[in-house]
Amino acid sequence: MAKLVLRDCTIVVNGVDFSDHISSVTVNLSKDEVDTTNFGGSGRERVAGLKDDSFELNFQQDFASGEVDATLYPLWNNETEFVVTVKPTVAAVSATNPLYSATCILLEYQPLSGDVGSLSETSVKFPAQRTGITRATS
Amino acid sequence: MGTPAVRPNIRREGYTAPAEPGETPVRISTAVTRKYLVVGPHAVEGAVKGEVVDLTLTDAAAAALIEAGHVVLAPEVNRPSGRDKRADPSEPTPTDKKGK
Repeated sequence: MAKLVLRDCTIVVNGVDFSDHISSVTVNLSKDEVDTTNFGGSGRERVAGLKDDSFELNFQQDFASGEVDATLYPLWNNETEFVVTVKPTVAAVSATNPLYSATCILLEYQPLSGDVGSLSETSVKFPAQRTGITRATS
Repeated sequence: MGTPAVRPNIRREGYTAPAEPGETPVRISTAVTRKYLVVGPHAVEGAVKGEVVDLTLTDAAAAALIEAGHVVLAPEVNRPSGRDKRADPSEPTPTDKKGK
């Protein structure tokens, strides 16, 4: 498999394709660390705990109707759960183009942040609820 | 210890809202498939502006999409009736009468 240069990641938030307003994406897969260290050895022991996955996306802010702010603000304000999906390329989902998806919630949103002369961007973290992020290959 | 934490403000699929004493709990957010007309600038589940798309969404997620200006309920297709407005039309209400 060839190494991948990110060019056409597909990122969908609540069914809406925002790939043309997102400049970076991170899929965080994480599990809590539960310490089970005991007298059976001289070092620490751990097991995996609850999943705590999330998506981190950098949006290029847009206040027009049907754009970034109009989409994110209601999700934050109404405390709505919604589905987020991410795949590495625009191609169909496959073993070499897996789809990561989760039901998420938006708890923090900074609609405006930036310096004079800079592009208005907002970094958003979508924590995954309950089952965490799932990976599909078909 | 004590009672488990309740998150009454989070609208999630299958969530049953807490009821006041004497009231029947109501399912407030079950995913329902409806037809929507895409009116915004971004593709919605692959459908572009002017196209109709079937979306399976909770009421809250659908409301967020509509509020954002991405979609509207497709006219002529989703003509609501009084019974269909309920989350689960099969559930009886206190005013339902058998044989009608």
